[in-house]
Amino acid sequence: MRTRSASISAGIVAIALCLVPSVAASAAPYSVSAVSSTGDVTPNPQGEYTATLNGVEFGGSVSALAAAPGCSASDPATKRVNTWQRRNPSGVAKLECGNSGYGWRHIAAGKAQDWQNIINKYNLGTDWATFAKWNIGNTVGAPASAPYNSANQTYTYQAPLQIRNAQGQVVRTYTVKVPVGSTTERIITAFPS
Amino acid sequence: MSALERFVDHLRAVDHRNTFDSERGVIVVFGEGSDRNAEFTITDQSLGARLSALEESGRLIWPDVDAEVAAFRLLSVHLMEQVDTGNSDHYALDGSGTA
Repeated sequence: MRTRSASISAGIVAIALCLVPSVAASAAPYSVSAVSSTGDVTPNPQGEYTATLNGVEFGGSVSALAAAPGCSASDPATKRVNTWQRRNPSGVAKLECGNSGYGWRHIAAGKAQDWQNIINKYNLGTDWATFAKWNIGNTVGAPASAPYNSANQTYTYQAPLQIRNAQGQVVRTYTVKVPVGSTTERIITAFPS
Repeated sequence: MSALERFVDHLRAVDHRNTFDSERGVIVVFGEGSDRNAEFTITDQSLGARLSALEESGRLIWPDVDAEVAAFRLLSVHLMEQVDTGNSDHYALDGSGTA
């Protein structure tokens, strides 16, 4: 998803997934500005933020919540949900419905709440599935790194997900990780840490 | 060599920092590219149940290796995921995941 949005509605948090090292906010314009050891700043519920990746703002829309949106109970594990170009190393990254062990159903069952927690904490006004896909696509498409593990034959695409306030200050940085099987190019999982 | 011993060997190949305490029945797994780590209580039985549950998924991701190796790979990815996203430093491996 690459749309430009000048402003997301008031109270929405801005997120930036960038390839630059995070810079912890030192002077957040919040009434509450405690900074944790990880650089987290207590979000201002009235705060206004924007979401950007390489200069492109996050413009996610709201869609209905479902266990694994796009995958019905009768869909096979190998049904394709999405495909993204991945870079460094190049190829594609295939998101399939999967099952409890990999893919979209695995993410929905185990990591949807992690994505939702970020949305809720910073009033992003979107749903976990839209947000997770946006992060997956941008992480594999412009990773900060993608170390190869020969024992597991996986590339783990990684990129910093930066939460910025209206002043552009980074108030929190997560690391998005997307392990991909090197031979079948199937996405195993995707999570913020 | 038992499945547990083979899995421990695999974990060490994934990350040389991963260890197994046979007396306590605990493996220590590090997160991918980080110093975060957690302990997982593991037994032959719990590992067997977990591997059985993951074999089908593993074969879809790595169809060119045997089922056990594919399940080892997938389980190690799941354990690293747990280390990176969990709030605890100790879990128990069971047939359906970790708790």
